[in-house]
Amino acid sequence: MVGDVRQQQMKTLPGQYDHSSDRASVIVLHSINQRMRAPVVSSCVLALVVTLTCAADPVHAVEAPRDLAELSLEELMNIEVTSVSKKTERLSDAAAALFVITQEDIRRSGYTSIPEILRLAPNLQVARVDSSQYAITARGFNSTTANKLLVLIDGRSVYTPLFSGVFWDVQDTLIEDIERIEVISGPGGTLWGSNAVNGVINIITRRSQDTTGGLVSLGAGTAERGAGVRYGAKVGENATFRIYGKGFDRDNTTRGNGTDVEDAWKKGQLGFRTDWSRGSDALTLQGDGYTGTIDQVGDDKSISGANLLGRWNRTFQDGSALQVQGYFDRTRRVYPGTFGELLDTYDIEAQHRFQVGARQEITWGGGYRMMHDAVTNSAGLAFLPNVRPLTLINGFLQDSIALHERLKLTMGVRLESNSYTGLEVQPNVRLAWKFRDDALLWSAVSRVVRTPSRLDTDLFAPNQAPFLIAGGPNFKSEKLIAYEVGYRAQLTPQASFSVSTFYNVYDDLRSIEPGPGGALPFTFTNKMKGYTYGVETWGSYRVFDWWRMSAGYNYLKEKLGFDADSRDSNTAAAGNDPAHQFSVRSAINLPHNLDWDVGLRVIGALASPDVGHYVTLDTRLGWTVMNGIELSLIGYNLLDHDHPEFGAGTTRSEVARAFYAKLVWSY
Amino acid sequence: MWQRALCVRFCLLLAFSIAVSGGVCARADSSAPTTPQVQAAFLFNFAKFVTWPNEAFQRSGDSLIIGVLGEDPFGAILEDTLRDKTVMGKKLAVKRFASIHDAAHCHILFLSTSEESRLSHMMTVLEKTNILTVSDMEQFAEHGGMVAFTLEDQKVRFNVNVGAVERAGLKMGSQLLKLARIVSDKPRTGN
Repeated sequence: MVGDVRQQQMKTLPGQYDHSSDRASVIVLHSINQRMRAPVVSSCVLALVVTLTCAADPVHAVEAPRDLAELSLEELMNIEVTSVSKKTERLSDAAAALFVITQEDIRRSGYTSIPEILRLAPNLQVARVDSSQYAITARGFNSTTANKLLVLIDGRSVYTPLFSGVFWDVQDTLIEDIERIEVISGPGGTLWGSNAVNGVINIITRRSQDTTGGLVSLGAGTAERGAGVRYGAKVGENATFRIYGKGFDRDNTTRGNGTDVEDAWKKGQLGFRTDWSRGSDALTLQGDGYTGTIDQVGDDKSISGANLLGRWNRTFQDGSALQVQGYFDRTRRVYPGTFGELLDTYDIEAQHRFQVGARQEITWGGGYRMMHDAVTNSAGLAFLPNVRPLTLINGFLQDSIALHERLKLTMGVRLESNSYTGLEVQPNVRLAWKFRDDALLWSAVSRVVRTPSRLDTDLFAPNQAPFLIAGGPNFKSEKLIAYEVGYRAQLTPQASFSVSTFYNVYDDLRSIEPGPGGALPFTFTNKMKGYTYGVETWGSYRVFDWWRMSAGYNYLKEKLGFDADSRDSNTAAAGNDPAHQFSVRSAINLPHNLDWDVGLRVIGALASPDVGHYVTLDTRLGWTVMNGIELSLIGYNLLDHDHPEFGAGTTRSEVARAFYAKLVWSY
Repeated sequence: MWQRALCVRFCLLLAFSIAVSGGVCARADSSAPTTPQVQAAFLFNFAKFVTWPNEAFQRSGDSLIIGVLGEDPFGAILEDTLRDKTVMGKKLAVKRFASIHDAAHCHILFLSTSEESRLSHMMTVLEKTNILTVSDMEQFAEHGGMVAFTLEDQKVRFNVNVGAVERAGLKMGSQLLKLARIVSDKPRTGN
């Protein structure tokens, strides 16, 4: 219901950005100065001087107040306040296109995996490719190697430096333990770092103090089976823990002509989480391990991995807060005959948030990440060098200034140094005007980059000379400057509404060029550019206490082209996106502890490869048999026998009608 | 070329924003108190005009404990407001908690908006305790809480759920009740 940011995710959402101050400005200005003409520089400097001069003033603002406790209640009730309280902000205050999928939404959807659950966010594009693969993005550029979306699970980045994207087949947890998923469409580079280009997804699991007791879930259906078990308890005065295990298997998909695709998928996962808190300190330690296989012609693909994360939060007497977090993550995948990868990631980061005077809040922090990526090559395809250590060092500063009790300005900048292109600067300015208590108008300008991945720089085909493709020795970061305006309101106690629009200007997008005179090999370059614009809108309406309707609509327009000296002409390589996307959901509470949900999706056609538009419907009927026991029946894709959602021609998988029954027992 | 134009526009916007913030800083030291300052004074008055059953003081002895759960909006304000104050011969103490399970022995508990998504769980934990729950979450008093701060015309107001107060075995003085807006429980619907 509310998208505020808590201990486990101390980073404020883009909207609640803390007011950026003088130092942020210095950094931003410095970076921009290098490319700026003199008059502009001087106006910036002038503004900077103004900021610096008044930076000390807020300190005076907190002079000792009159002893308010001596006033009578009646007098207290008549005091006017300046109202810049440092409370965590609500969803309605975030100056960004933020949609929150709640635990309740997840339960009522009947979806069994994270990618399917993401279909609930109207500001995402989700297309199922086959049994285990998905193409997921925000604001365009979708593909199975989509590279403009950052995904975090409990603060752990699950992005792979192989293609700057996400392997969706290994991102999982016990679905019942997900607290909420925050989906931000639009850039988040200042807070979250490179690759948060078109969006950020934060998957946040429940704290172990909220999952004490046992839970058993069993499900079976026409296309998949799954089971999960969790046990949580209190240990001593201050600590709680939970452990869980889950497993599932999904059947092969079929092609449009009815033949089987060998892509059945099964996976098992174990994990734990412990939370300890005393006074103003909170400690979390959590981890997961998993292993699975995906069928293919010949030997099966295998996927496995493990991760361990620790996080410490402290809230100080003055209300400031510190978070330190570290994690280790190992993922391994072996595709016999084609490719294998073993990736180890070590990450440590810290951030601190504090108030300056009554009107400013500053968040700053930094981090270090070390990745060790080792690829097993095959004759047809190679990443060279096959082993590459990668480091990422970053620092950021953000200042949120209440210009007026209803007007908040947030400025921030992140400096990030990566192994390919060195220093990247990602600044961002946001303005939020809460012109009524229940209505917010916001706007933002951000610069964000997508740093090179091994796919851009190290991909060779075949594995030795003469090459057809010879990496991208001079590949630079892809760049985006995004302009956003949005409006969000609680129109009546029953109705809420959000609309956001964006104009994104991209430069240095990936292209592929032949050598001089059209000779082989091809190399990856940065000669595509262009712009996109669009509208994302959603709303919900509670028709009665027992009936809630929600709907979302997206429009996306993409205009891409190439530099004059480019010989590339295939803009379709950038991604494949529907121009229109519409969804509507109904959630009804029936008598006798029944609840009934229906979700309809209309997804526009994809151009290249050509995928026709489709309309599909999912529904779930849930029955709480008695306290703690819930039985549900779910139907997926009921409107047709099957339809494709992504991919080319006759070889692609179709997404078929399916049914599933599930029993959840918690005690 | 167009990139440079964008860059210039971006910098102008930045310069403009900074200039605006500069203008505002100059006015920042107005003497109007902040919302947390006034709320802290209200918390003191709640301590004054609410009566707890005797057993509520068995563990805390001669202190009346005001707890803050979650992200603290008060900072040092609460200590400053309550310093050297006593209520019915009891000293006032401030404690901060990260988890509801640690908060069982305070008398007044302020629940930060950071805890909003866990509200129903916390209300279950707090059942059968003698804690006066206070928050500025929206609809807090309608959803099982006791006192909800609101802001109307830049003035701090409060709603009281009398049923919830009574169920906790507390008595709220008429001095408070006559100024409060009285609300009652409203079931929390599914979503």
